[in-house]
Amino acid sequence: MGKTKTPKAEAPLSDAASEAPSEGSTDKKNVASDRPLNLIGKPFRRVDGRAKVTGQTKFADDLHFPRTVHMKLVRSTVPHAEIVSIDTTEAAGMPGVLGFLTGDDMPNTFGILPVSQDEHALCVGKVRFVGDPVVAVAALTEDQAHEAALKVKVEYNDLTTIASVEQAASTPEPRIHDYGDTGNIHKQVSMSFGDLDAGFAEADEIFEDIYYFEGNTHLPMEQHASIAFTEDDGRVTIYSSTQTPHYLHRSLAKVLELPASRIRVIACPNGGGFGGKSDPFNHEICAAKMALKLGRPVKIALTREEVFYCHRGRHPVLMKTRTGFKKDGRMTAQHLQTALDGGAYGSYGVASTYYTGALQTVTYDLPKYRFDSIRAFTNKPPCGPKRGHGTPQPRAAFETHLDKAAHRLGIDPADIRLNNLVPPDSVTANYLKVGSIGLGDCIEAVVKGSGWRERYGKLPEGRGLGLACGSYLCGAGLPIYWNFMPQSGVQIKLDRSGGVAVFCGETEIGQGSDSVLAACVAEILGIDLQDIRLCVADTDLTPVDLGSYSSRVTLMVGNAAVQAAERAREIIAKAAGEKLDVPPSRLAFSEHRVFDIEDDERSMSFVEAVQAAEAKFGTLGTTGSYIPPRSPGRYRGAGVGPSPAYSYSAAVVEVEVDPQTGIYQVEHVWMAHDVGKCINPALVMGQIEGSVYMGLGEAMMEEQVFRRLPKKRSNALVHKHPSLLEYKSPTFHEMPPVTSYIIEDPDPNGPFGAKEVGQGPLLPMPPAVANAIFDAVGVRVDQVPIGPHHVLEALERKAKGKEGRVGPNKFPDYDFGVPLNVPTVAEGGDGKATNQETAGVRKGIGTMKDREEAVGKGGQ
Amino acid sequence: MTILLPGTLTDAYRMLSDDPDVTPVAGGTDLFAHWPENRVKQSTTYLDLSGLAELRSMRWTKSELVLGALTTYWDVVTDARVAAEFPNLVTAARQVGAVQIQARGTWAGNIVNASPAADGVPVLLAYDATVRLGSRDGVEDIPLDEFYLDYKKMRRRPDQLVTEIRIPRRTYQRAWFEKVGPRKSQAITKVGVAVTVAGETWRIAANSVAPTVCRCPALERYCAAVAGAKGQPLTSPSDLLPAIRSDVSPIDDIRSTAEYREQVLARILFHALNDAGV
Amino acid sequence: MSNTTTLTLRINDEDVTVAFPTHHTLLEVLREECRLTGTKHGCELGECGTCTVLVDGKPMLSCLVLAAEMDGHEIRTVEGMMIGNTLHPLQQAFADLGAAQCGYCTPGILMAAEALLEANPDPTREQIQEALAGNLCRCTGYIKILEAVEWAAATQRGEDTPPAKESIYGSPHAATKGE
Repeated sequence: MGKTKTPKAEAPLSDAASEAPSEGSTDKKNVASDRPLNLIGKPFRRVDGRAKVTGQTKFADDLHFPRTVHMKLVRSTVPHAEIVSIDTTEAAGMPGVLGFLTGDDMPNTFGILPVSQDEHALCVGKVRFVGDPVVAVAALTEDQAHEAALKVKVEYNDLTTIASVEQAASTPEPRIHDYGDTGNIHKQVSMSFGDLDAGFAEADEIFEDIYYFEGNTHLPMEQHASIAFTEDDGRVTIYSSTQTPHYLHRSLAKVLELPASRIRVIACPNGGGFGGKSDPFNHEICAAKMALKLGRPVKIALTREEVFYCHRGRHPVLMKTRTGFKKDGRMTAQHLQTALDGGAYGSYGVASTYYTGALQTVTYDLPKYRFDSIRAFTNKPPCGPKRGHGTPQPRAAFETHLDKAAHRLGIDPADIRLNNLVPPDSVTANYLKVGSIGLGDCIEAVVKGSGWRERYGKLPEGRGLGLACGSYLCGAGLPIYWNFMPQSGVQIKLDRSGGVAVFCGETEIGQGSDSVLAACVAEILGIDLQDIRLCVADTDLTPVDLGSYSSRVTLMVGNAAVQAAERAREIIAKAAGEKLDVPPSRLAFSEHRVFDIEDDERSMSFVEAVQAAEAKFGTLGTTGSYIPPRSPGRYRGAGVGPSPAYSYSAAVVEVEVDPQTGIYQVEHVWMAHDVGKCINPALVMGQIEGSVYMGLGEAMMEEQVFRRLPKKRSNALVHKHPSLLEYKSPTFHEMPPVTSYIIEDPDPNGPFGAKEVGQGPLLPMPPAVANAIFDAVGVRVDQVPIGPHHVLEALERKAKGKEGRVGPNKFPDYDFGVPLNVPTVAEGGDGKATNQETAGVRKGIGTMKDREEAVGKGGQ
Repeated sequence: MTILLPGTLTDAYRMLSDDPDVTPVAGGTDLFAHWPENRVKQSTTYLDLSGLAELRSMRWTKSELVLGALTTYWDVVTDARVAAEFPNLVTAARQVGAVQIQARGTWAGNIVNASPAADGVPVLLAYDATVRLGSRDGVEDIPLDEFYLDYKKMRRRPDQLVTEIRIPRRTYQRAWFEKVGPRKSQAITKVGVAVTVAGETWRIAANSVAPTVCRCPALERYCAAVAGAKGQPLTSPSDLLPAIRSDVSPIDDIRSTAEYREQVLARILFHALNDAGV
Repeated sequence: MSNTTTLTLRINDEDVTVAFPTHHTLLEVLREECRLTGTKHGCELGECGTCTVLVDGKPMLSCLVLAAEMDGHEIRTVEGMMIGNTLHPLQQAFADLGAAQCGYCTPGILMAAEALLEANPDPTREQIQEALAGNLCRCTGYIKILEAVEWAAATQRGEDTPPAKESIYGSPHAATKGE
């Protein structure tokens, strides 16, 4: 005790209450990172650990209130149709039935993005996929609600079903939605950064590859559930398994037509999310509406089948990557085209579309870059953000493309990557500001750990190694709806007990956000985690945090918590310094004590110091806020991709392929991840291993696919297997040993230098598996997931003297319109497009401006 | 929907003969799946056999291993004597679902559920098991090989219960079972095959390649001939394809394709035969 | 459709008398009638393992078992694991290693692991994998769970063998700084 080293600089004292939120910036060193650390960087039991192993954690469906009734949704059995009539007469006569809701009860639209307010709580006029909710029914018991739901009669008038991107592009009518860029194309994007022709002209070789990434879903173990009730004063409260209580709050206000101040959203701990609980959902809004109608608590717990319909998972994406290479493997230019099958609603889709292109330049240096994309509406459950949001698909395409290029150029796949690293503190061709970059260290770590140099290309037939990399955001630079308010806020309350209460809107989905929040505060105040009481994810009580998505929580909540805690520390230090007759800047906080760093005998307990501060200043409380730094891009679409920092990962995978059956086994994974700085290494390891696992699932078996029912059974387009029986994910048996390397290259924008770890390590997994299969048996499966039958088919093709490859051969000739032209920094660009007015022109559609006017009604 | 919980076998027989539409349940790992949803849709009456101590025993006679109708996979997995004498039963049982399913699921339930993908049935077929059916009118023994008539159709009258599975005790030179699924546990078989060799007698049974789990007589003859040096030696998996095609009729479904099933069946058989020195 | 059964269930060494619709599963009766919500649901068809409880010491899926069959059987749920106010070694290891992330699959896995350790106090990693293969976890990648079960098993055997440093800090590499 008392041996703590001298902290160098103290934060200037400030009036906590009046200071505006600070904008993050790369040239401002994080104050907290300069002091010696007590807690940060060491393994500690997560603050919710005990509750989770005793069964005490209350997930949404574990809550029960007196007089609770149960709700079920009647979902569409047809993929695309007008609703002709709804008849609830028979259902209303069933035992226990209390009431119904239909689309007419909630005419306002909602949706996560302001530009895609295209959902109704219950369908109005038409249904857009099998599973679209049409009627809500409440009854005394769940069985009764279910039986009544089966008796609701809905008559449909079928419309043409749009089943694929190609069909959507060639079938403008009937439109699934009456908004979007054109026909059934929801979104089209085309942008060109720098002189692409010049870039390709510089190249010694130009390679082109086509790749398909099948859709898959999050499959959180907890099925979505909500329970809503009205309070005595008529206000409505909802507990829900949501990753984004703030956005749900806004959607509820809009659809229920109530002031947001009369709605309270509490996010329960999520039993896994992975992006699948980041949209506001129909069932949540219906539960609140039904509670307002009945005046009783209303609970809905979705079945697993319904969770497959909620979806918002990985978009199926077809991609064409064309890249120019110098002989040494340096890339001179890339043209990437992507086509996303969006499903029936917008969800995060516009952002997903941009994300299939935005981060290509962050992983490797691409001096010139063009990106074209379309997202189509189809009559399937809507796609949205799943772990890695929009980036695992182009990552898989790019990393297999690079692997092939390395072979064609005769370069080691590790070297081709090391030759293309992005320099630290640079601005990419598409104007993303990159700070710290640990990718080189990541590659070196897995190359050394796996014995790559000695073993790659030299293992016996059937055994192979594959390498791939990735990079990811630490939170989106911009909020989902345009505003200048903080993206994350923290309030701290202290009192004479010495207990510290921390209030924050962040949502624990298993990733450990509660622990990050508590650890940042505990570290700065020199107290234990057990002295901190958290109050989180409650729109009545906690300051706004935008939610658990885009890997934003550690960085943004962490920074807000650091700021609030630093302010509390300053106040306490002022009062304690006065009592101890020591300048506040000389005080250290550690192990529940406040002491003079030059004479640790001059000290008082933390509790005494707080009491001194309460006596001096009155009731104590501080706030902290975080707003990300501004990004240099000024072109249309520049809002997707910027982040305060980027994480990096590299993986080597070893596989054993049985050429008789095509069955392959992942034998070992080496994964290195640049996390900036560990807040808690045990939790960092858990996130790395979990990401490896989920990436392997996507590589090997997970797919959300659809089929047509036989003609006699309506010919509807239905989910091929909306159940855990057929949607296979890896079990204990499929998980290989993982050797993880934590690379710490602290980022000035991260709290204590920390960056994200929850999503990044997933990215290299699918391509690393594909590359390893190639090393093992010399065939390419250019699609994900890679099934044994694909491997077998490729082997048979090879045996017959054909190309040993399975995968798509053609990227359709879509019209992406005139690209937005943005000169790069190297070309003297200022982040603006040179043709903002004419960009986006498509045959027969006109300018972007014309289009916006034409489709503007579909906006918010 | 109604649940009947008989306390004795006599009660169970009476309930079955009183109502021909009653569905017996031995374990329920398949029948109770999707339960909350199915039960509101169904008007079925279930006869839950779990309380019938008479059906629980697993016993040995001089000439047979007798599995009572409530014998679970777990009972077999944890029995060293079964592992020694009928290793295929243990191998197959350990690949059914995972431990929770093994602790609950029964061999008899697996037979009567009549799924073409049933994991317990190929090994029983390869061991020449017999099904004993009981009813108020007495017992009837039917060789498992003759039990299935077509997809989900079998020689069990509505008033009959499978009470026992009887497996003859023989000396086997060889017995193996292979299951190819999408993953190692909790998986429905894409193709599975059980083989036994007793003297010159071969038994080969496969699942997920026909409307019912089935014996493969052409393959049995072919393998016996090759092994007895009476046929052409095997040179590649495709040598087995004509026999496979005469025995089974796989289909494309949501789990796999007919072609993949045939190919893989041929390949796993070929390699197993090779390993066995055939 | 629903006739009712009244039964005294033996849960976590206590007798609980409950009345419930005869067709209800043990899972529903535990969660709704007994309010023991530690036992979870995840698939309705016996594939995910989150509803695992012990019946006479054997791991069973409470979603596939009727409560009406439970007369005379001993049922154990996660709520019965603590020893007084002290965590069971499995609980302790899961909490300390981060083997519970979202925590939703955790009760089922703890039950399956407890059954394993009861039968086999010193399981190999392969035996743990086989014993837990019926429990899906989407967060952890299973590795921390395997390490936690091994750690708890060692603790129960009276050995002091915490997980390797690499499982908490990662493996050493060239860029490792300090420490």
